[in-house]
Order: sequence, then structure tokens, then C-alpha cells
Amino acid sequence: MALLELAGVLASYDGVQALHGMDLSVSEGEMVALLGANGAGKTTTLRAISGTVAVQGSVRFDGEDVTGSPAHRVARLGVGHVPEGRGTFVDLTVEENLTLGALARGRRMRDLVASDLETVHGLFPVLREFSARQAGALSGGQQQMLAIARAILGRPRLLLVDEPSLGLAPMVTAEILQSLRELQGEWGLAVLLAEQNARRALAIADRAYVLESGRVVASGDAAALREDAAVQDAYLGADDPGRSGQPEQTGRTT
Amino acid sequence: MTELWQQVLSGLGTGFIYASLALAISVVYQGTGVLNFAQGVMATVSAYLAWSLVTRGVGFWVALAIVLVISFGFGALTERVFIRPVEGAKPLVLITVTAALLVGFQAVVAIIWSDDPQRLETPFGGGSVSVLGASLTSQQIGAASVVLVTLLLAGAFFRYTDLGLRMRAAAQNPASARLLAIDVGRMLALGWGLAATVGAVAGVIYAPTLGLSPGMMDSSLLLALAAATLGGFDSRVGAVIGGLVLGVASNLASRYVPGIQGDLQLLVPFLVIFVVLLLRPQGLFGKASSVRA
Repeated sequence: MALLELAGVLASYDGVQALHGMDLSVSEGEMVALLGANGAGKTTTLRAISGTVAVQGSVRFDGEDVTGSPAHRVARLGVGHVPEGRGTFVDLTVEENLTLGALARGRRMRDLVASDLETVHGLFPVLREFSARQAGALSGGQQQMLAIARAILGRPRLLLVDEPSLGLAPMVTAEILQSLRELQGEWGLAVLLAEQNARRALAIADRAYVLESGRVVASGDAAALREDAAVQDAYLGADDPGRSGQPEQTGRTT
Repeated sequence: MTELWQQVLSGLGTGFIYASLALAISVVYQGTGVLNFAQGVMATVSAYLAWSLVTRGVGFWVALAIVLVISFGFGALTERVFIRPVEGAKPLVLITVTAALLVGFQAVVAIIWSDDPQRLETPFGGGSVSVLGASLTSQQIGAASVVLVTLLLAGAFFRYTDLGLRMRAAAQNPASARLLAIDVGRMLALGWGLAATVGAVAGVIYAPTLGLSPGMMDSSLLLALAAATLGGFDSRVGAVIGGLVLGVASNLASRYVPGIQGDLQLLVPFLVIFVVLLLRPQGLFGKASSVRA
């Protein structure tokens, strides 16, 4: 059975429909990419899952109906969300940010916090180095690492990651995605990755969904999508993020 | 020199009232973005509750403990009932609500306990203590010590406990806090409860000096608002230091500046605020607001 299942999910902001019947599923331990231009509904899909936007339809996590559940309860069930714009607590130290991540796991696997912290520091050594610094003093790439580290310290079973490459150097993005991939293997973590850069996402994911105007228009194995010329031309041609689509929900996503 | 020292110390004594109310105001402000004008009268309610218990034969310290528990619940309930429904409203709406709470609670106090002033006996006895040449009453020393301990405990709570960390996170970035399984609504109610408790300590412990009346905390509230402005509303440490500074400043002014006595000493803190707002609008310890990416 799928870990996450969305069926006919609708969502809107201020009366503007952002999702028009979204269907998708993610299995345990799988890395799935959500592709599409700005405004296709990637961010809203992630928010529909984590409970940070009002939805209709059905969102099921681990067999439980979480449609309309408040965000903190969904998080407690084991859904981590690295939001667009990272959402680090800029006035708290790096260490405090990470502690908050570990606290999010509640009573699950509490005895593993210390060793998980080791793992995270191993993946992102810079976070150990700057542990006493205010998160706001970190660079964009470091804050992105912090946001991901914080989310995975909650030991989620499903991690939602929104545009980790936004505003980052390609090298840094590759490093972050690689770290995710490693953890996915070690912890059996399922990852749903929203990414505008289709090439990069398809290079690392197992499967992908291509979104357009709040619907799935194509899906399949990442390898197959990479080869599919029609999909390439129609949806994935734009490596230049500024080329297509209307701006995505500016100001509502942070 | 001894005279100056004496004035500084007794100024610090009253400064602790302002400091604790200012801390309460800043905790609430950071959490819910509300400037709580009712913070003072909430402490008044606590003081009257303690008085009621003591006049019924309960010992002072037992009464204080009971009142602190009740005050915590009272603060949390106030957030739930009066603030939650207007969450996210415009600042003007929120200010109107807390101003209404100020007037409302004050009226309720007058209805329950009447307008007649009451006296609460000091638990510290009538003696006086000499501190490096200055002479202070044991009430002055005792009250300041109790409040100081309270402020340190509150600081340690926010700094070192998981719950304190969660509350800071919820105050700073509610959206991210929710994604980390933090029940933000509960944290805000806890913040109000904690603020009311800190205020209650000051209200009860200083009641023997201030005397009980529905308006007993009015000028302290003004000075606490001044202290929070001085230190910066988004800095708990700043608010406390602001309170102590204003306590000393107004006491020194009333002693040394000719023509400033009694109620006129209220002018001093406002002069301080005026200057601070001109030079450093975010307060001495506050952060300048900036647009975040």
C-alpha cells in the first residue's frame, strides 16, 4: 500500500483554484519528483499534504485520512516539510533549529537523536562548525542545508522538499540532493521533491509527476521520462525558470 | 555618595515592578503580536486574590503559590477567549481589544472587591537592612529578591528548556513551527499564562508597598510600556533592563532635579522614551525590522 495517496485533491487561495483534482501516490522509501513550471501547483501540492492549505478531496498518509488535519498533527505523524524559502528560525542558533527538528519526532525513536545528529553533521559538516551561530547569519545554501537537516532530524517517514535549488549554485544543489539520496537509502525515507529544474530532478528521482495548471499531465519512471521526447518538449524544455508560466503564489508560500 | 547609593537602590526596588510587567508584555508581544494593556490590571486581579486568601487566614506564601497557579490559568484563558478570535487582525483591532480588557477587568475588580483601598501585610516583617551603607526596608529587599528570582527562572525557562524553545519558535515563525509538529495555538496560550504569572508575582509581592486598589498598577503599566519601548519589545532581556533603568532614573530625578516630585517624576521615563525613539526606534536591545528573503 502506498505511504501517501492523494485523490481528487482541490485547493484554492483566496478563491483562485490552484489544484484541480490532484492524484498521486508515494510508496515507502521512494524518491518522487514533482515537475512543472512556476504556478503549476507544485508548492500547493506539498502544502495540501502537510496541512498548510485548506483542501477538498482525499489525502491519506499511512492509511490514515489526514485531509484537513492541522499541520502540527500531520507533522507528528511523520511528515517533514522543507518549505519554499526554507523557513529557518533566523533568530535562533543553528543548534536550536536542529533541536526543534529533533523534538518534532515526539516519542518515536527518541533514543536515536544523538546518533541521527551525528549522521546529519556528517552530511552537512558546516552545521557543526556554525552550531552556535544565528541561523540568519548563514548563507542561502547553508540555510537550505539547515532546513533539510532540521526536517530529517524529525525522522519523518515522508519528506516534502520544495525547490531546494532555488537561488543556489548548481554545485550546492547537487550536494544537497545527493545527501537526500543517501539518507533515503539508509533510513528508508520517502521523498517528494518539487523541482523546477527537471533535468536535475529526473537524474536523481525514482519516479516523477509532471504538473500543469494544478493537474498531473504525465507521470512515470524517471528514466522513461528522461527519454520521452514528447514530455521533454512539452514540459521539461525550460531550464530557464523565467521563461514560462505565471508567477507562483507570491507571498503566500513563505 | 551614600545618599546617591541609597537612591539608586530604592530606585532598583521599584524598577523590578516595571521590569516584570515589561517582561510579561514583551513575552505576549513576541508571541501574539499584541500589546497587552491589560497586563497591569491582570496583576491587580492576582494581588486581590492573594489579599482575599490572606484575609481568610491563608499564609502569605501559600496564598502566593495558589494565586500563581490561578493567574497562569487566567492568562491562558484570556488568550483563548479574547485574543484567539481576533488573531491576525489589524494592530488597531488588537490594541482596542486589550484596552477594552483593561477597562473591563478594572471594572470587575471594583465590582468584586469595591473601590475602597485595602492593605496587605508585608511577609518580610518591618525591619530594615543596611546594604553597603544604604538602609533598605526588608520589604524592599525581599520583594526585589523574589522578583529577581522569578525573572531569572523565566529567563532560564526560555533559554534552557525544550518547551521554552518551542515557545520561542512558535513566536518567531509560526508557519515553520507548525511544520515541526508544534501546536502554535497552545504555545501562545502558554505564553499568556506565563506572562500573567510573572505579572502576578510582582503584583502580589509589591501589594504591601503599592496598596490595593483597582488602579494600583496603572502607573506601573505605563512605566512597563516605557521600559519595553526603551529595551525593545522583541527583547525580553531588554525589557527587564529597561524597567530597572527607568526605576532608577525616575527615583534619581525626583531626588535631584528641582521641581520634579511625586507624579511629575513620571515625566522622566517619557523623556527617556522620547529620546530613545528619536535615536533608536527599535529600542536599545531590539532588532531593526527588516525585510527577510
